[in-house]
Amino acid sequence: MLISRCILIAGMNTIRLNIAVFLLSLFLGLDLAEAHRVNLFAWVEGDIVHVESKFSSGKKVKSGKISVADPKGNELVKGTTNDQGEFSFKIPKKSDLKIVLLAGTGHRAEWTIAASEIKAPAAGKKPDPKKDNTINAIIIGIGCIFILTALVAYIRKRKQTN
Amino acid sequence: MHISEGVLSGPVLLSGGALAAAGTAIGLKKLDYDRIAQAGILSATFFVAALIHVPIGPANAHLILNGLVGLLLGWAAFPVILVALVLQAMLFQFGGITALGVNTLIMALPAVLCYLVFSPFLQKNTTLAFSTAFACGFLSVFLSALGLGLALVFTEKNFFEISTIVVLAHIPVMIIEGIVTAICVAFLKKVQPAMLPGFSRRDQSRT
Repeated sequence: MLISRCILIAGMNTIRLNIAVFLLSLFLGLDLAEAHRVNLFAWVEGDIVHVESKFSSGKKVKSGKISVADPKGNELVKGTTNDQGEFSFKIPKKSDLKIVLLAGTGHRAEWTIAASEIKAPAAGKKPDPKKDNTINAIIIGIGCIFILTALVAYIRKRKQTN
Repeated sequence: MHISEGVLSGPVLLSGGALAAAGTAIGLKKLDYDRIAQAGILSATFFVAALIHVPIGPANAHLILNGLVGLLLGWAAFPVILVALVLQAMLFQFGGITALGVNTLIMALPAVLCYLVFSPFLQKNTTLAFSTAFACGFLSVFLSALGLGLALVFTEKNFFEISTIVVLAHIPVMIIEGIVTAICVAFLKKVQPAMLPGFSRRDQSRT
């Protein structure tokens, strides 16, 4: 309802529509961003959960602080990653497990293991890390900056002529 | 140098956001029409620079180039860095969305400070301009590292330890940024001196 209203209002002006679409895509992008730039992967193998972490540069997170909590926020397991950036623990409870990694100097990542994954551990295997699409992101980013720059210049110009 | 989501406490995020908003407002006001294109290009540069990792040293450090942005744009560094950080957060998941204000402040404030201190020397002779630019690139990263330590002190409670780690990790970056900034300034001085702050027609007729 709100969105349709937004689009209706924005429809009056193509530039406004562009902005609305841009903001909407940003908002969706925000929802899709599941991992932060410290990457954390966790998978179930038998009754053990393995956690693996690394920075975007590929460096392992050595002695990062790991904390595992249930959906209510009770801390179940605490530990630190080893030199390979790995940490393993026995499943403490058959519920969703939220794993949080603090890698120091403001870096944080989290990963949730669903209860269903724990109940069917046979299928458990290491998840494939997402494909790196940095080049696309660079092009999109520079495109956005270009459009924004043009927009600011356009608005200023109109103000000047008025 | 980007702070992730969920690390900082609410008051730190809010005050960082408020200060960054103020800086951005000043920056937009001070941004002349003639400099908009330049601001866009520098925003793109800053946006991409963070992808260049410096493989020297112990930690996960990348180029920042806030010194260069500050030196060439002054207060406009705030909106320029904010835009680049928004896109980095969206596209590369560098830093949290809620931490945008704090991250902007950490990187843009040192840039503006270095601009205020160093820009008067840029139109002097080449050696002085060169070393000034180096100092600007070097110090803005250093101050950003201190700012990061300061922002984290409220959650990790050990300012000196954190700041030491961050500063040490960024020493290679500081040196490289100093050199990059110096080369850019030397190049601009030769090719397009009007892009540097403090330029006047008198200088141009003299050269």
